[in-house]
Order: sequence, then structure tokens, then C-alpha cells
Amino acid sequence: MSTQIEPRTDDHGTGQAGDSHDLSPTELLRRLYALFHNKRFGLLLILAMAVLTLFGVLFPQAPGDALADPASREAWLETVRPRYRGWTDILATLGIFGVFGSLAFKVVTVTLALSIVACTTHRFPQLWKQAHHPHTHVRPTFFDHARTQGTALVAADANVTAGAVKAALHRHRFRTLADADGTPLYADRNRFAPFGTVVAHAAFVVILAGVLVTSTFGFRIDDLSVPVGSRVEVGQGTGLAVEARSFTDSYNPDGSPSDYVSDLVLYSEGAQVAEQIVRVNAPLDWQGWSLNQASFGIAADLKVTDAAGATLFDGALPLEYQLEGQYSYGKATIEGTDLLVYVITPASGRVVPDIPAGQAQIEVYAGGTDSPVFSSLVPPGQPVEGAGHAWTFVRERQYTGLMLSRDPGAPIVWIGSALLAIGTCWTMFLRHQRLWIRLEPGPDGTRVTLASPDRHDTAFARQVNELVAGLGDTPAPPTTRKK
Amino acid sequence: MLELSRTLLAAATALIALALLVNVVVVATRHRAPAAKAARPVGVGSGSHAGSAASHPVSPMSPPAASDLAPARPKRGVAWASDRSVELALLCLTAALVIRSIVTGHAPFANQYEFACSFAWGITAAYVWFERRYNVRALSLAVLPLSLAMLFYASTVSSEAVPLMPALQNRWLLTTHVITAVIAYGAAAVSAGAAVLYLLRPHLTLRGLPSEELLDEIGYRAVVIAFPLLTIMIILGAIWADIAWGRYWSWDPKETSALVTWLIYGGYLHARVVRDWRGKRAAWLLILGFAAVLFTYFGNLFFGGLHSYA
Repeated sequence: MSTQIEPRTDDHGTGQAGDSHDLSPTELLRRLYALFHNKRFGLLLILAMAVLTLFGVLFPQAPGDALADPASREAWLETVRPRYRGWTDILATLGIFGVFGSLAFKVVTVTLALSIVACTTHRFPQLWKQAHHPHTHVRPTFFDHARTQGTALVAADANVTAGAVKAALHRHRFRTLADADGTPLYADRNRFAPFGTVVAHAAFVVILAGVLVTSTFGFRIDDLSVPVGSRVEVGQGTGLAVEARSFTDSYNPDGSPSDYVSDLVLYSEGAQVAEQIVRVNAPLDWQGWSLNQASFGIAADLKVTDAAGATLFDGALPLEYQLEGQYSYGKATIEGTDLLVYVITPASGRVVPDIPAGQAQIEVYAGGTDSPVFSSLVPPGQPVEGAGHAWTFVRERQYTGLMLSRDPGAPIVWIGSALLAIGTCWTMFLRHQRLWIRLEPGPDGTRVTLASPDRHDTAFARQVNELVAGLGDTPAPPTTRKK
Repeated sequence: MLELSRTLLAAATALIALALLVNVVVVATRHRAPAAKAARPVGVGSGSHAGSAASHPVSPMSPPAASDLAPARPKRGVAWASDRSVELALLCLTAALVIRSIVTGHAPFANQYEFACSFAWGITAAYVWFERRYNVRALSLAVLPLSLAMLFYASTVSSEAVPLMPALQNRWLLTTHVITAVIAYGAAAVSAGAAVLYLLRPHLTLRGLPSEELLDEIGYRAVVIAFPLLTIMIILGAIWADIAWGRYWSWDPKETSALVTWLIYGGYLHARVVRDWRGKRAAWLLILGFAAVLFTYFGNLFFGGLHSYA
């Protein structure tokens, strides 16, 4: 007779594992579930998110889509290269300048959401049982090892003492559960407090869902510049147009800004739908759209016509960029051509030698070239010919910079936020307080012991002290044991 | 009126400094309770019934833990005066901030000076609350210096009253958003103070230090106050950002720092349910959390962003 010994394998597939060891899909899911509801794993995810977020604070983050294409990425990296020098490219490769859009951050966020779902679903039955069907019978040694304990000797028999104990507990808003003969065994208060954690954790997932909806279905224009007295079509399929009737910026005597006010009219499909005086803290809201005051500045009215006299551009060009603090400029692509036009003026309050006050310099570039195909100083109102077109710098006027957004995810985020606030306060400010009760009849009366194994709480221990003090004539103070 | 406010702040600073000095002496020179009195039977009725509980085990409690539950104070000694001094300082701080609010027409949260004063108020208020609740004078050794530091910092920045800039012209949100931060940060300072004492306790010979268990509990209880308020503060900030900046979250350095702080305290609360993370590790998390609070407050001095005015 011979005995064949199979090689031992384990879950990690040591030795010749893989040949004979396998996991059923159910077992795999069970183990994954166990991993995700593991509190230590959840804690590590929270700390990982904290560390990644901290990187996002410590290092400048590229705005918007600055890292999306190589040209804009390189241009943005050049702005931080003087600071980080040789580390710039290494940090960029590691995704440090775009932490919140990085794969690592997304993985941690999604994993944390899954962990929260697993933790909550795993814990819910336990909480339910603890609230509705707690263990009322405990071993005698339980009372010896409980962290909080109070004892009193009541000069009465067990029945009378049981009634007194229940009455005292009810006065302190405890629910009592008794044995079949009416002997109280267990008391608790705020038994639904632990469910606050369920609400708070669910809220976190709801907020993440809202953020997902925002990023997927939200619409946003950060720099909608509307010259005063003009109407600008938003485009992009919105059917919206915004008219700025006026803009006022006012200042305090010390020069600090006191208010930015735009008088705006909103049009949808050509019809006026809303009008409002918009301030920083008073946006215009209409059917989910929001117009916020963001910036302001000077715009140049520019008119461009082709050789046939057809108007190719007639509008205000916000001079939103600064050059060396001396010049303000704006740029626009002329539709139907490959021409890019720059309009340059002296910055506000600056006197520069090459552009007389009140005039503008027009530079036209063709097909992405570095050298202008046409450049000229232009007095207001006088057209100049160049690059096959006529260019007219009409005048300067103020523009108001607006943010236009529609965010279907925001209501979900607000619901999640409300749940988070409620759940967190519920969990933190209410506490499930549990007491087990032992009555021991003796020759001098009935000894009552109240004990709780929960984490020590000095205030609760004092309440137990007061409670037992009301029962016996000579109660001992409650005590705390070190665990 | 503003000068009166400044004078009250100076008075509060002096009172807190005095109280701290007295408390150092009181804690350092506190006599230990006699061993015979400190060791008590557990769960035994006293007086004529004491002997009837022979079936219960007897385990001595450490003297500090015994004093945690049964505090006894001298009636009118310097320690009593020290407590009143801190309470008077809190009163002065409150009056100073109220006066400034009346003069400026808005809650005193509009710039670094005003928030530093409010931060000091939050720390002092949280300390007074915990000191009265737990009767732990030693906590002042770690917490009151933070309050003093804030007041000293306030004295180094401009105290001129300036009108609210446009982004801050939302009085309801300015008040609620920042007051939650002030109280949360104050509670966070207490938790950090308790954590520092927890970590130093084995290395200090001061007799008046409370038990490690009580310090651990105070640290936790302070976070129980701080965390929900931080949550509400961030949510109110998001609501305000949505109104003023058109989006509820911008990854602005200050709001991101607040999120880091929230995550650290969230991590701490979860760490407490993982047995290995109690004690020293949890105490370090509390210190890290308060470092994040300070970073959130001072960070915009270095990083700018949408909160660069605050």
C-alpha cells in the first residue's frame, strides 16, 4: 500500500500552486467584500486620500485642461520650472501637478467609496441587532471586567429593587429589557445613534455620485466676457445670450474694492428670460443656469472686413492678458480665415513709448507663424489695410467677466452634504449607552450592579454614579477599569 | 471703541499668561494622594455595607484616575484664581470681539487679525469647557500656550478695521462658515493639547498630570466636537463657493487644506475602532490633525488662491 502525499498549497499559490488550487467566483467575491469592509483597509484609504490631497495643496495644480495637450502642458510647466528646476519634469511625470485628475486619486476615491459601501452593508445587520435584539444575558464575570461599573445595596427584596431600578433608569431615559419574571437585565439609551454612521457614510457616496454627475453632465464657461452695452451669444448649443447693460466697480477710500456690479439680461432662443443686478454674492439664476460675477476689464471694439467689404468680425475683444505689466492685450481668430489678431494697448494707468495713449497696436499672424504678417498703430475709428483685410479699432470700453454654469450634480451634492452633516452630528453628539444589570438578593437587601463594557466616558460614569446613588443608601462610586 | 477692543485683548493676553504661569506651578507642585486613599475596592458599597461585597474583586486605581472621577479643589487658592483668570480672559475676548463686530458691522472673521483673535477665543472657550467638564488643570499647560500664540500673532498683523471685500459680502455665510471653524479649531487645539500630554506623560515627573486614559478620552471628546463642526464648515464653504464662485468645489488651497484636515480627523475616528491605532498612534494623529488646522489657517499666506484675503 502506498500513500501519495499531495503538495500543500495555500491561497497565495506557493510551491506548485495553481495546479490544484482555485477560488470559486463566490469565494473571490466574499474575500473582496471582506477586504473592502475591513476597517484597517478603510483607514489606509482615508489616509491615502489625505496624503494625495496634501500633495495637491503643497504643489501648484495646473488649471483646467492645461495638461491635456503637449503644447499647453509644456507652456504651463515653463511657469513652474524656475521654482522646481530639475524636478519639474519628474514631478510632472508623477502627476504631482494634476493630483485631482490623476489615476491614483481616482482609484483611491472609487476604492474608498466601495469600502464605505461594503463597511456600511456589513455593519448594518449588526447595528440593527444591537438596537432591536441586544444580548441581555451575560456571564457573571462580565460584571467584574466591565469598564464602567456602579454598585448599590438596596434595603429591599429583589422585586421591589427591580421596580426601583427600572423606574430610575426610565427617569434617565433608558429603555429597559427584562427577564420573563420582570427582572431588568439590560438598559440602553440612544440605541439608534450608531445608525448615524450609516447615514454619514452613505452621504459620502451620495456626494461622490453628485461630483460624478457634475463632471459628466455639467456645463461651464469660466471666462464669458461681455462688453458693456453689448450682447454676446454663448453658443455651444445653449441657445443663450447675455447682455451687459452696465458694469460698475467701486472702491473704498483706502483703494480696496467695495463692490462689482453688473446689470445683466439673459436671453434664451432670442427671448429675454431674466434680468438682474449681479454681484459677487448675488448670481443670476435661471432654470438651472447660473451667471456669476468673475472679473472685469477693458475691451477693444474691433471691426474687420474683407476686400469685398464683408464684415468678418465686429465685436469687443477683452484685453484680458498682461505683458510685463506695461501692456494689455486681447486676441481673436477671424472666422473663415487662418488669421489671428492681437490688439494691444497700454495697460491701465501706464504710459509706454511705442503706443500713444488712446491708440492701439494691431498685429496679425497667419497660419500659426511667429512673425506678424501685418502690424500697425491704429487710431480709434480709422480703418487700416493689411493682410487683405481692413482693420478698425473702434474704441475701448469696459467689459464684465462672467462665469456661466449649469450643474445638475449640485442638488445631489447638497443632499449628500445635508446627510453628511446630519449623520456626523447624529453619530458624534448622540451615543449609544448600554448598561447590563445584576440583582443579587442577600441578607441585608439586594445588591444592584450596573455595568457597561463600552469605551470609558467620564460623563457617563458620573451619570451611572448618580443613578446608583439614587438607588441605595450607601452606594459605592462607579469605577473604571483599564483594558 | 476699537481701542477698547484692543485693550480688552491685551488684558485677555495678560490674564491667560498669568493663569498659565500659576497652573505650571500648581501642576508641578501638586501632592500625590496617599496610597491608602488612592486604592479603592471596585464595585463595593461603602460604609456599613462595604464588607458585604467580598465576592467582588479588588483592584486599585491609579491616583490620577481616581481624581478624574472624584475631583477635589481648594476653595479659594491660587488655582481657583487661575481658573477665574482664564474665565475672565474669555469674557474679555468675547467683549473685544463683540465690540469689534459692532464697530465694523460684520462678524470678526474678515482678515488674519480678526480670525487670529477669534481663533484664540475658540481655543480658550474650548479649554474652559473641557476644564470645567473634566477638571483637568494640566490641560492648560498644552492648550493655553496655543491661545497665547494666536494672540501674539494677532498683535503682529494690522488691526485696522477694513470694509468687507466683495467676495466676503455675505454676512450670514461669513458668520456661520467661520464661527464653525473657530469652534472646531478650538476643540482641535484641546485635542492636540491632550495628545501632547498623553505622549509626554511617561517622560514627565509632574505630579498633577491626569491619567493616560483620561487624556485619551479628552482627545477623543474634543474631536467629537471638532469633526461635525469641520464637516458643517466645509459644507457651508461649499455653499458659499457655489454662490460666489459658481462652483461648490475648486480645489483651492485653503479648501483643500480643510479637506485634508477633515480626512485626518476622519482617519482618527476610524483609527479608534482599529485596536492597534489607539494610544500613541491616535495621539500622533491628533497632533497631525491640529498641524493641518494651522496649515489651513496660515497656508494661504504662502499659496494664495481664492482665499488669499482670509
